[in-house]
Amino acid sequence: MPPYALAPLLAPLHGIASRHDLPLPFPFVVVGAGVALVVSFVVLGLAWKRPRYATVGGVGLPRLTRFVDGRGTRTVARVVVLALFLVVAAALFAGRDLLTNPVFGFVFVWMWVGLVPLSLLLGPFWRVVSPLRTLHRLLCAVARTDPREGLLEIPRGFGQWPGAIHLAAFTWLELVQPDRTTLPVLRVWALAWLVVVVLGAIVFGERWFAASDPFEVYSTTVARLSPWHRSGDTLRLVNPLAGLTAWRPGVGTVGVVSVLLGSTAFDSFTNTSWWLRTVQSSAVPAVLWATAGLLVMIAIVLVTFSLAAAWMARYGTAGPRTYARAMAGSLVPIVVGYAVAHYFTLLVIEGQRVAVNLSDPLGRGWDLLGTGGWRVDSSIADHPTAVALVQLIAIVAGHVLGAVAAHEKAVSLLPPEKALRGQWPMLVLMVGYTSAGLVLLFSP
Amino acid sequence: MRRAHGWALAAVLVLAAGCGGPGASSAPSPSSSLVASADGGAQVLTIPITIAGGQVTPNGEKMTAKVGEKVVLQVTSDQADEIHAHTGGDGYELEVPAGTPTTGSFTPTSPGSFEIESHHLEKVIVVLNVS
Repeated sequence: MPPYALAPLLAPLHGIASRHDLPLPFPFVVVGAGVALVVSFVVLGLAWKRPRYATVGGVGLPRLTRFVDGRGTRTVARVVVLALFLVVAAALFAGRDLLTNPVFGFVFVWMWVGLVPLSLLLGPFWRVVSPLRTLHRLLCAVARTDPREGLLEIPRGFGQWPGAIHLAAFTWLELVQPDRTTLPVLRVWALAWLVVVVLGAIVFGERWFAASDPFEVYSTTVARLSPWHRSGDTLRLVNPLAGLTAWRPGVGTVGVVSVLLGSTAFDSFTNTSWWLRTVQSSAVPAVLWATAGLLVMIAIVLVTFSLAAAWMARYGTAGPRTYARAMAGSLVPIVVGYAVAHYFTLLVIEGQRVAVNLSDPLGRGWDLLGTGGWRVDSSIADHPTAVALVQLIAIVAGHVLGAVAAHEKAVSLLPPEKALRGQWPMLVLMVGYTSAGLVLLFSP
Repeated sequence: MRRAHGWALAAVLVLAAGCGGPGASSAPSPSSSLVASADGGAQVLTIPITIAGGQVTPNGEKMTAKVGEKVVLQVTSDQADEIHAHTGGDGYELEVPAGTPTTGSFTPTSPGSFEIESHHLEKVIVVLNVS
């Protein structure tokens, strides 16, 4: 008798997946860190000394723009996504409290992890199809008010800080919240999301979505690395690096990228034996350890990045914050590389399970979508070396793109004779982030 | 990881000595191999687990195993508990009564990193890296 035959589906202690990737082989760590270091110094010393992507370039696509912006296209996309979310909401509020309920995988795998490849491929799609925006629009239509207008102006200093804070809250739910794969807990969080974002939109108008919805903030940030760029109203197919360079990040973007990078690093950090041993033998509750650990990781990124930007300010004419904000875009490829390396097997394997479970949202034996009989193909797990290679390539490619983007920004922001001296701490810091990411995947 | 191997080695030697019969005196020297076997040449990883006073031993340690290698859990606990091994699929569960040494085993069928944990204490005992 196979030992698992009688066992029910067990809720894993940490996160949704019962399986994690094997540690990155140590030679991969060494090679990855070495490549990152060498490329960085090549970029620093030998690369262009004048900005290369002064214009965004690319190809204008007016017909595609008309299609994408068409009323019909948008309505169809919004209705489809809203319908999907209504099914998931039914599972959340009327489904059974079992791991086969699709809502857990939908939130932690499809929404959170799947958002990255979708934003890379499609650009800032969430802004267009967000079910909360649709809901707000419907409410405004009923109340006969203009969705753009609220009761108050968003205070100017807010920028994307509300989004950064909400992202941190989501990562706390994802990585710290006890019993996060139970319905009562997830219901509270879903309602909080709905209330904070939609009520905020009623108070501040539609702009609040871009400032505060964590999924929209994440999606638009990652989409800066997509090949799509708007100049004026026209959509252009561009070199992603040129698109990234053309971005002028606003207030709070440094917070957003710090939360994204810090939380992913923390996720890896909790797999180290040092962390498990220390937390489990401590008298301090694990929730406090994890909360502190998550905040410390985010703070480390925020502080180190701000210091490197402050160094740049010594050689330029603007203040440290201006440089931090301007350079924030160059962390996006590193964020994306981390996310791919950490979560792509989860997306592939658990993502399929969501499609299967969604077919029976209330746990009554239905097969609404015809996907209920699918078997999850987990054969990707049988190729650990290939998986490790993808992880290595994701992290190193993220680093190379980040280093190039940072160099481009530095030469456009600093006087030519000072650009090198101004940007080296930033490059060293990026090598540090990359090496840390590799070591954490090695999971000592 | 080295310590984990040491344990496995010790456990395997004990096993070999225990069920070896006349051949037991010529048990392989420690350096020769980890292979021991009640079931026909397959490798066995034996993990002795102690749960006492709310603490688990091993405490979040990394261990390695091969796909198809039998993993034996020898658990002694001062309170009733369940050991969960998230081996992919539906996972493996071992009921452990208080004070009675309990043994159970499972065989991982695919590579990956899996947690073996105490369900009641919500603590990770071993992170099993299966390759």
